[in-house]
Amino acid sequence: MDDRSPNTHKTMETETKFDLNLAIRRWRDDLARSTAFRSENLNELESHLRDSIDRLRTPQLSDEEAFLIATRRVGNTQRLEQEFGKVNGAAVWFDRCLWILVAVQLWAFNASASSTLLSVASPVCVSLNEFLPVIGLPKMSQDWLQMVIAMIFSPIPIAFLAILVWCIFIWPKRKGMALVQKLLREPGKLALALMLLCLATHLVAMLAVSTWYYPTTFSNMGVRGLPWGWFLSRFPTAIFWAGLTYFIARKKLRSSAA
Amino acid sequence: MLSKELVAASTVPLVLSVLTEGEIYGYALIQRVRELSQGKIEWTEGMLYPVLHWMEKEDLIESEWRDAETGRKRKYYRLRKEGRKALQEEQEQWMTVHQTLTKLWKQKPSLT
Repeated sequence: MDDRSPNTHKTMETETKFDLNLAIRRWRDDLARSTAFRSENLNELESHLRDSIDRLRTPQLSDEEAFLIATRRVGNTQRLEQEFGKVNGAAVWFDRCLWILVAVQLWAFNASASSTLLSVASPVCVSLNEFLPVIGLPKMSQDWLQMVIAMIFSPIPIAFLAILVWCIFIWPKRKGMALVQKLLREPGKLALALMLLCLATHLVAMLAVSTWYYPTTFSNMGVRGLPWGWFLSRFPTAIFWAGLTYFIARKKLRSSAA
Repeated sequence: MLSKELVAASTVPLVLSVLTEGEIYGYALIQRVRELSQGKIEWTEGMLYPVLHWMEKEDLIESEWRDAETGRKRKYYRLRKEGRKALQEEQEQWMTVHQTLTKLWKQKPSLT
């Protein structure tokens, strides 16, 4: 009997067609993994690759063959990375600093957002606690109550950030997520955006703390005002990090615009 | 084929000289050098760009993204005043080497 697979030429026919755009995107994504290339560098290399493929494409040469030759001529990733890294050296360091600042800002955002939540939630929970005996439950002690409030409300901002990151992975194509992804590729703009968000949450936190948390302390003295101690312990650091972020991000954005 | 060292040393003067013919984008610049050298000067194409960016940082050349006739965007490079000055210096140096070598090789034709 014939021991050839009966499907031999069928498999040949259904062999997947080479998708040039997909191949180019993969090649670009592979380069983009390195911090040595700025997105403008990748645009230029891609434009070069496409010109080269257009020139190589002939009736004798398929898209795939033209792509292979063109990428080979552009050079291997490692050497390109080395050479681009030399020119973009400063930019690479700016990026690293900016990512650290992004982390600092996120942490500060987390701190102020949870203080806001706690100071808004505390009075509400205190009144709820007063209400517990009405429905036949024992009233919680002040210490327990504070602990329960902290346990419930402090992790909310971190959880919010975690959900945001999760969403980026799940729906990378959604409109809002696309914007976040775009920002993730530009640490300069991301750091600036976070800095503004952070300053805003600091202000909200300050107002919230002064209105909900401290008013009793101050109203005893006849001053219903700002909690200066709290304010002084946080705001200068916030301003320092914001200033540093602004300075480095502006330098970075200028150097990539030049 | 040129040696690696010579390719590295001649890239800047070659780029500057091609740019005296007018503005050009990276791919076309490489084609022009290949054509003029009859394929004897072969660059690893991607390596040209870090050199161009370095030259731009040194103010020898300037660049601009523009739409090409293909509908894609291309980055065109143009010579600056400082670039012309640098090219003049390069020219003098290369001519010195060239003249010295030709004189020596003329004196002793038996070497070849």
